[in-house]
Amino acid sequence: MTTRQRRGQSFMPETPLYGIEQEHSLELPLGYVTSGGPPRVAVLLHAFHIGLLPEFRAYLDYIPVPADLFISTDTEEKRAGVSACFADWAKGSVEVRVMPNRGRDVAPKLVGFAAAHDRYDYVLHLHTKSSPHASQLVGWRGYLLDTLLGSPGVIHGVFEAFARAPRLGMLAPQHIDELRPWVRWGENHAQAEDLAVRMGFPLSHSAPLDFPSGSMFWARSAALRPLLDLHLGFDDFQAEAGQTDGTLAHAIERLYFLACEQAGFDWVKITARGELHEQRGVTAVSSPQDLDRFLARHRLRLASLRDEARPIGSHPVNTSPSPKPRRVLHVTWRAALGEGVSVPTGRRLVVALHGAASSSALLRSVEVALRLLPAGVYGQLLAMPGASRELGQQAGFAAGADLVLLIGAPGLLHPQGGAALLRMSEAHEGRALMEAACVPGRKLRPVDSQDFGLPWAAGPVIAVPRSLHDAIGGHDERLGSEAADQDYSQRARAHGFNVLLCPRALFYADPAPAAAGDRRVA
Amino acid sequence: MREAPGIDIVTRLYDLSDLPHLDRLVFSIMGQADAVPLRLHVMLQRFSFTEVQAVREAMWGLGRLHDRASVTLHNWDYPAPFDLRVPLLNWGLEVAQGRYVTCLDVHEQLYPHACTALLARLHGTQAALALGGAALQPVWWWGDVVLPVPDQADGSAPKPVFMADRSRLATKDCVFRSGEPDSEIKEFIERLGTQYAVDTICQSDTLALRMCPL
Repeated sequence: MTTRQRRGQSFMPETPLYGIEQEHSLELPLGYVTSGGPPRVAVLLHAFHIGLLPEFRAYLDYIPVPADLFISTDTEEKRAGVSACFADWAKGSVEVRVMPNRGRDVAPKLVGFAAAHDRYDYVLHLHTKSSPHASQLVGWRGYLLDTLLGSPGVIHGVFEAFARAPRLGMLAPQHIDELRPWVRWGENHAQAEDLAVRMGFPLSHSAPLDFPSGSMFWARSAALRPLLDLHLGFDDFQAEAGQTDGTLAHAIERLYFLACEQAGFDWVKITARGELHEQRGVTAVSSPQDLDRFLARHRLRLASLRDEARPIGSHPVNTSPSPKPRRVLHVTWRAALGEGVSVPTGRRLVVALHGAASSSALLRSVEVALRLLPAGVYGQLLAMPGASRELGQQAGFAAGADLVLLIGAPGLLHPQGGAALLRMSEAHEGRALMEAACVPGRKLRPVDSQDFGLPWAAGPVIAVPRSLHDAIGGHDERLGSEAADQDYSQRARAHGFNVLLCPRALFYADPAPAAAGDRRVA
Repeated sequence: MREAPGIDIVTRLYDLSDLPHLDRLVFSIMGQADAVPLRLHVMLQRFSFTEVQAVREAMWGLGRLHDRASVTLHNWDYPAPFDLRVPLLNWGLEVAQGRYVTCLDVHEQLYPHACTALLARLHGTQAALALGGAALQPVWWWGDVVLPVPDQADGSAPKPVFMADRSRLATKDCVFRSGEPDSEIKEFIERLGTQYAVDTICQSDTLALRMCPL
């Protein structure tokens, strides 16, 4: 693709490029035992296909706390069937109401049962989902139910997440891969934009998009308040005509996360253990601390990207930005890189030049990088030509470093390299072993395009945080260079550290420097 | 006769979205300044004052990496002509002070010693033009994050990098001409190749990497 062809277009793929593995989701049940939960929850279930109710009943029986059921349907005949199915529900009250067949499952919950949200802190939105228009979505309903209600342990995991993150507003199932083509605004943007304005936020065509596909989720009632405060009526929704897109209900489905954010809450995706074929994006947690770390790192906010959606430059031949939504991938990039993260005053970065790293050009580039550290951060250069990496690391931490940047080869450190590594380290709470990105460089070890994870950190420039040094010391130099790198990264991981590439910390590596006099040209 | 020592490098920046790539290009140029003085001319296409300041700020640290390398911004501030692709290159040739000149795409990065390798070929031959190989690297690109796409087949770029010895070229020939979109440098190389001696020894070596945003 040429410069001119690309200019003015969105720089991320316009159609889903990534598989489900590239967006993180929390695996449920959690890897540790939890037993708490709210005193009572409300389940809002729209039952259009009542033949599916026995299946839903079986899942609802897993709810381990008192639960009041608010079930809507569209005919009196169906109401009788619903009532019969839940006649022996012993965990709480059951209210069954016939409502107009408008607005699919959305209107019955947000309009018909709007008041129920006022009486409960937590709600579960469900509906008897059937997708006859798309045979490839067979199994989707089962996946959604397994993820939201698959066992008491799954539901305890939901409650544990809510309890540990007071600003967590919604948990929704991760998209299944087959659904990815539908994760877009489709014909729904205009109606969504109208509603967004009424809720108090703008919604451009290039706004990033994610939503609880299937419109089933757990939520704090407060997170749905912006939608409830629209005071929609059934007449606002289009009459049922078998539409597969373009209705107000479809627009609202795409606004759930944005409304949650407008209410001041965050959201995360969840996945029941073993449900997704591709497991790379699924994060299992084994302790409350793990859960805290996941929630801190992977709660997303689409609204924070609105400013970025504006073009930063202009050109006479620019075309209009693509109307298709941006992917959420760059949200996680920003989080992983520590964008917006403040490096605390008093942090100390020590750059230790060891081995063959001794050229005057390198020294100068490090000095420039240290001058560009964030305000209040200390930077120090240790020139140790010929010393081992282990010695450089020890000397760095002996000098009081919070982060030691080890450079072992000639080249140039980018002026922003030190600051980039510090920010990324802060974003991971000092628990990341990082590697600088060597340029130009063509062949790389596989890099996780979501969070820049590496199989192991290697190369001429790596950054070691103090907490890692305190935990496992330095590299085992008795091993060969590559084996020592792999061993160190494995030990780091075993102690709960991430191993990451810092793509903003560039190092221009000069693999075979000749004596300057040999090549110097007047 | 142009007598300034070293090499002039001309590149074009159409808008700020390419600033991260310019950053990498300049970084790779600074890595070669030990061996030869380098003057980079960044030709800006109708940038506003604020946009020029943004480029200047981005170049601040890079410009301090080496005394023997400089970065100069030239902003074409006139409404005409509409299409500046060729005019920007020719303006770059005008402001270049030295005998040796090359023009690079902002998405390119030079491998170590690329400049000295090309310069050595010009010194060692009577060629007016020396060519070097370039490789393609597919990348994901967001903001200032450029991430190589794993498992993507890369290959040779269709357009090599070049360095010209202007003392061996007639002034009337050492200009870029309009042609097919994005083919002005290719046309320049091919046209001079029919009239002057061209050294292609380095063309089998990879001297530059060209980023191909997906």
